[in-house]
Amino acid sequence: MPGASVKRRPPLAVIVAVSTMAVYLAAALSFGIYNTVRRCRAAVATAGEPPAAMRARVFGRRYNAAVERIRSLIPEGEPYFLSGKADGAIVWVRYDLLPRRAVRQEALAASPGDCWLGQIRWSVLALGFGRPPLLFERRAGVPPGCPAAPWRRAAAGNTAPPDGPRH
Amino acid sequence: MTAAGVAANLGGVALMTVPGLGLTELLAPLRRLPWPRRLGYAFLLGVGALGAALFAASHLAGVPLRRPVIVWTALAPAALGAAACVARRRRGAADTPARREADAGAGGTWPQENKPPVTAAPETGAAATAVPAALAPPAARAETAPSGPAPERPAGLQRRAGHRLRLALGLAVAVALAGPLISALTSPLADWDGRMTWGPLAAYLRQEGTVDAEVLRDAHWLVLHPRYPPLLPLAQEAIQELFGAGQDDQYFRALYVAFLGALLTVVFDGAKRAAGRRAAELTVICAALPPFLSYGGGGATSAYSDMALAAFYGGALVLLLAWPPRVATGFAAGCLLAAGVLTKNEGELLAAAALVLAASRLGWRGSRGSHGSHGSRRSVAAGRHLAWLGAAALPVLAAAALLASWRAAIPNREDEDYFAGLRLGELVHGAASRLSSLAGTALRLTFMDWTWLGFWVVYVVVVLAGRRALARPLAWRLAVAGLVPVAIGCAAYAVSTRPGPLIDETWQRFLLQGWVPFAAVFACALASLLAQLPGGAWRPWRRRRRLSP
Repeated sequence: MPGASVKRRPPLAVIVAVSTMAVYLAAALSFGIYNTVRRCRAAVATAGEPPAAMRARVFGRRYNAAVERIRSLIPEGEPYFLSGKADGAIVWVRYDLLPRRAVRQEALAASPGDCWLGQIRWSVLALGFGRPPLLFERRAGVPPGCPAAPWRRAAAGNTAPPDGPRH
Repeated sequence: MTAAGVAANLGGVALMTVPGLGLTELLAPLRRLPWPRRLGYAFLLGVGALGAALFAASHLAGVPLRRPVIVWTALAPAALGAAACVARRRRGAADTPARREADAGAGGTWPQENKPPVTAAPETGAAATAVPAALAPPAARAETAPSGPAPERPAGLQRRAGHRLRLALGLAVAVALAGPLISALTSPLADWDGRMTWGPLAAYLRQEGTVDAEVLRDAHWLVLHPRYPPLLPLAQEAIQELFGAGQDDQYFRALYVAFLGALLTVVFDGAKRAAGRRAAELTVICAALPPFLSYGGGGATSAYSDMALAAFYGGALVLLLAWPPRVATGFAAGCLLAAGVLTKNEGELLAAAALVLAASRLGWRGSRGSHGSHGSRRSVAAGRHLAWLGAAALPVLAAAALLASWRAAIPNREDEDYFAGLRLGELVHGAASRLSSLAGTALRLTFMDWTWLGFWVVYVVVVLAGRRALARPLAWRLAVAGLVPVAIGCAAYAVSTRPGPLIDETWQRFLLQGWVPFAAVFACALASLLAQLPGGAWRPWRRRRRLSP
């Protein structure tokens, strides 16, 4: 019959593939919209929040207060020893104390005669995620035969660069 | 976040995009792209160019990484591009539709290897375009379309289907980008690698104002992975420095969300060139929605470098494998590969793989044209192709040399250093003894993890159902390119001292690094399936077979 057309049924594999994709798209799009709406509502509720308040909201007030206290005591140019019960905790605390330089606590035991390590006067202990880090002040001085470390000179107001070996 | 913080975040994205727009203005094929895709490539080129320029200026010339240098480095390519634009307009050399078609691969320049195959219809045996012939560019379409009377075109149906699909595409992309953007702007950075590696490096570079920071060169200091490539930390540093970020301000967060947007535009470009518009639109919808891309460790909310690497690698692959081979596209691809080299350790291996795949394309073309062609024409074509490949390779070599020079003064510490442990004997032994036991974990992370939401199940089903489309050289090259990051990961698992935790931490990120080529392969298979659907709504034209009288 002229003009009639043949409608081919697609193979089963095509039907299965397209159906699987349709299910995935329905689920993924719903999930995506839900996630976005949830975040929009949270954003509206916290609009205008300063960064420190954001950190307190997410990581906890006690953790945030401890970090602020440590920041206020250790100047940006001064290093500190860092130790922790797990490497993850060390990573977390170190990031919040940037750009201060950290040294592993174990480094001091490994090289006790080091000129610089002996002059670091702060030690931070990271206890774990969400737990406030602890700050200790060490008795630090310039080891015999060593020049004063840059951060000590800066603290003393002496900015003249020393001669001689650093370590 | 405050309004100023939001503005600074968006300004950071603009800081990267503006020099990139200048570069795309200088590279004619990219300039002629539609705006969304052009912006995607511009962002990637801008991050690469600004980061690499700051890296080279600081390392080679000792230029301090401070605000004036950042501003001038960003403005230089933008000014060059603007000058080129003005000059072109004065000459009256507009981008004609013919030129745009030529850049798109149509108009007689579409590579033979990218043409879809002509196969027989399964039921009738008559010649039919089973795979994306209908979706291929016009030149290829004209050659693969059946002869005889012009096919019927249900324009209204087509327009409605296309309109609905574009709406869905817009919704999916908006959902994929808005969620992580809001999340990034309203929460502090809380991902592992961002806090461990990339963020600290950026903070140290900013504090000392140089890439050759003392904290990296002195082994006293606790720096995890001090030799990791610094492109993304440099981009972070540039944004933070330019907008005067305080200790707690994170103005770089939108940068990582922008990488997701760029990744999706590159996916669209690659999929469209490989399989046509409809399949590309559906592919982008599918590829945009896995929650891993938005919220996973390595996704847009985090500060991992894997999404950036995926975008650089994917963009370069699309330019090298799916575009006509020209010096300008080769150079753009080389810049993206160079950015990949400066982004992550894997970047060097991925760049090498992309260049080898591009060279294989030349080999194929050379063997095809060796019969009956004039020698002089062949040598001219060969010279042009070599120039294309050379333009892609040169930026990669320069980036690798720069990186090696920078690393030379940094004592390695707190680093697994997989390359040092990568001996053939250990690799083979590790692969034989470990990979079978790790396969279960890989399968679980791929198919069962909620962060993919079943995407890989759909992927496997669609690719198996449309596997005939993978016979094309473009498709199998893209498939190989997608598997390269996975192979790198397997090599790392084979020699690592802690393969179990490592695969948990990295497997999904290796899948992400191959996102663009994987998506393009998906598009090829999908186009094959769509062509077999009844009703013709998914085809550019509907053909109904008339019975003979």
